[in-house]
Amino acid sequence: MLKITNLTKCYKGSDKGVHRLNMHIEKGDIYAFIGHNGAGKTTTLKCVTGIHDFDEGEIIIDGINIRENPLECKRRFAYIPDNPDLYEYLTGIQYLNFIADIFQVGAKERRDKIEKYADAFEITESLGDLISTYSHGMKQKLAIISALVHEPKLLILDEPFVGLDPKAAVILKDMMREICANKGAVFFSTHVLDVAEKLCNKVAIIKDGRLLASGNMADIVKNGQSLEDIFMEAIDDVAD
Amino acid sequence: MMWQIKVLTKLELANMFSLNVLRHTKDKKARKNGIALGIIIGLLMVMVIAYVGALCYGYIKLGAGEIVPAYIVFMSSIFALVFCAFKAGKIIFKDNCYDILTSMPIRKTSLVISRYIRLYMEGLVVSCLIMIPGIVVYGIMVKPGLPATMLGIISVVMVPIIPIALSVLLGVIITGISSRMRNKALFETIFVVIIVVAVFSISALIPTEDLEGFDLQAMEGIARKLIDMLYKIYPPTIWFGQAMVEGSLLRFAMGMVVSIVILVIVISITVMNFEKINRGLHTNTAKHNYRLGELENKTIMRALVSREAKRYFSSGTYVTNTIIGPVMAVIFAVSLFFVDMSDVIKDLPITININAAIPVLFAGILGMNMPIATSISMEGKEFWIIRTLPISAREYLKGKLRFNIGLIAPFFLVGELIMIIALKPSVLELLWMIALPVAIIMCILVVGLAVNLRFPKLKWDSEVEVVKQSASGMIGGLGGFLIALVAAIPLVFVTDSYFGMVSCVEFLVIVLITILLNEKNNKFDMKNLE
Repeated sequence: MLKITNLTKCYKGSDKGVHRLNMHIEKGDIYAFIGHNGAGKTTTLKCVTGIHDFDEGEIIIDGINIRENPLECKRRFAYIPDNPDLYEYLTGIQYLNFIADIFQVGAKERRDKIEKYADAFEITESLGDLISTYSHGMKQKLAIISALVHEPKLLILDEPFVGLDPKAAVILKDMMREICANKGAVFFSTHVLDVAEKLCNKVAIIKDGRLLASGNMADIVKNGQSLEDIFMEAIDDVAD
Repeated sequence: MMWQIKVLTKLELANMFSLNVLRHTKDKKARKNGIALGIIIGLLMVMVIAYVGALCYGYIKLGAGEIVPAYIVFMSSIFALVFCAFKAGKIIFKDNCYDILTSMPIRKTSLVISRYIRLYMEGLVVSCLIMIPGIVVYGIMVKPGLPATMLGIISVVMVPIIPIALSVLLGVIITGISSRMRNKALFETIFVVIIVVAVFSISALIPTEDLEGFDLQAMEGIARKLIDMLYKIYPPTIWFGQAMVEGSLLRFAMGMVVSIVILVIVISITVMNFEKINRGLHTNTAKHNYRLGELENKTIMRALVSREAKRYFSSGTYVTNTIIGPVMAVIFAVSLFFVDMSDVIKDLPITININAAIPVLFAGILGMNMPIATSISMEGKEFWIIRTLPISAREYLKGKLRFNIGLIAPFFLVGELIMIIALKPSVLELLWMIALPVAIIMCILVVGLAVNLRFPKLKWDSEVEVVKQSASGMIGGLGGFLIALVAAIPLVFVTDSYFGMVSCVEFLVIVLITILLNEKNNKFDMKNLE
């Protein structure tokens, strides 16, 4: 579903960025991407989503090269950034309709999907209000609904659990599982290692723009250790 | 309280014109934009200094030197007022850091004064640009003596106080009323349009019959009449102005006392209403009663245009600063019923056909400050949405073009209709009267997009930074009129027999430039926008 080969992205005048990153996310995967602040998680996600250009490497989404055909790639995924800055001058329903129009989702289909997800997140009654009146959590929920309204094959999320209430976090996890059950894939960055360990079947650990470990969760987390122990060991080893 | 004012003022001034960001940023594009903006501002400053200096020189040479001090005080006040009037409310009641500042032990008075000082500093820049060249020319040529010159120099600092205080008062009134309204942007827009129309109407009502029969030999008498007229409009003009002529400490003291009294009154009014207005601005009303009904789907283009419209009309700053051009264009068209343009230019040493250029100038006024020139910057931090959506640059930019065409179409049609009635053109003239402005407006729109693609400003705290202070805002604001001006020059010099041919060539050149530039815009890589 998503193949990243030798991805290198350097910021001018800084040693930050990512260096020769390789990852492979297959259909049915829920893939966690973990690392400390400034490790290169968001940079990687922004390169994958076509927000940033990159210096070297290749990104293939559902068999399509993001550089060669960015629009086709964008039709296949949905992205939710860490801080969902949405159009505050629109109401929630206007925003969802805008996204559905861009993806050409039919009237009935969009209504069914919006009803399903908005009811699940308990924000249906607020959809008529301006987004500027929403709390951070409500904006996060709206961003998630907008991402799901066009049934993406790949869901890319940056810190999706920040700002969500416990019930919404559970619903989001269920939605992630549903996407994977329908032969989609989920790729998300997180600092919540417990969630990553319990939810994901694959994980990648990044530090200073370089991949320290990646693969099946079961292969990485073993011998009675937790993901937290593995993560701390991995980043300490590099520091030493 | 003084240390609070000092600290807050330092904070306010640190990032005036985004200077602090430019100083510390490592982003080359941000620096490039800053340098471009600096060059534009520098050029404008040189133009203003040269214009004021030349004008004052001319007045003195014609024997009307007495008018110079009053004139520079008046112009300085008017420009400071216009420069700050439509943004004072946004600066005084700006919402970034509101929660942090109000949670700290800071007095409202300190906050208001620090923000007033920030506005005052901008007014002072205007005052220096207009008054100092005038004082220098007046000082060298008229030699009014040291006391008078000293009073003139001190006046540079005093003159902006009243216009900035009036700007703040206007900002308090507009923001105060709009903070209670659901549709704040609509109210602000209507209010500003009313003010603009009122200013034009009042200026049309000022009696000028005393000045008619303009005779270069009688400039001294005319200067006296002008001084009397300015006194009636704005008395501080004469208090500060005559202090420079006569070295009169009494007149200067009068101006200074009135300035300070007005300042204290305005600051007090602002402080008294500060919390109430801020509460209104920061309290959101949400109904929480939405019921999901049938939903309608639109085409991608309709969705983009509709979003563009909602973005535009959601911002009072955006609308009020960009609707002035179209409103002024219609006023310009209406004025053709009352002013015979050939009378205006009859004293010129060369013969020009001003009527040929009127439709082109109309298009230039209409295209001043078009929203399209800042429409990409206005996406701000929400631009990630467009970047991750499956829409091409061509579709995205086309959406912006279509919205802008729809926005100015009513003003264009009304203006054209009025011009046709007023000028009574022949069939050939009618053809070019419509075709040339259409081509020019399309060119202005495409140039506006090109400018914003090359000078985007996506990181901002206040919309004022984008609309009034960004490179694309400034180039877009003036660029439209300059395009029209360049198009107007050949038209005014041709005889009737060549009018059709010159118009045709101009039309084809403008259309060609527009098409080529539009194609270049459409190939722009959106990832390059940072």
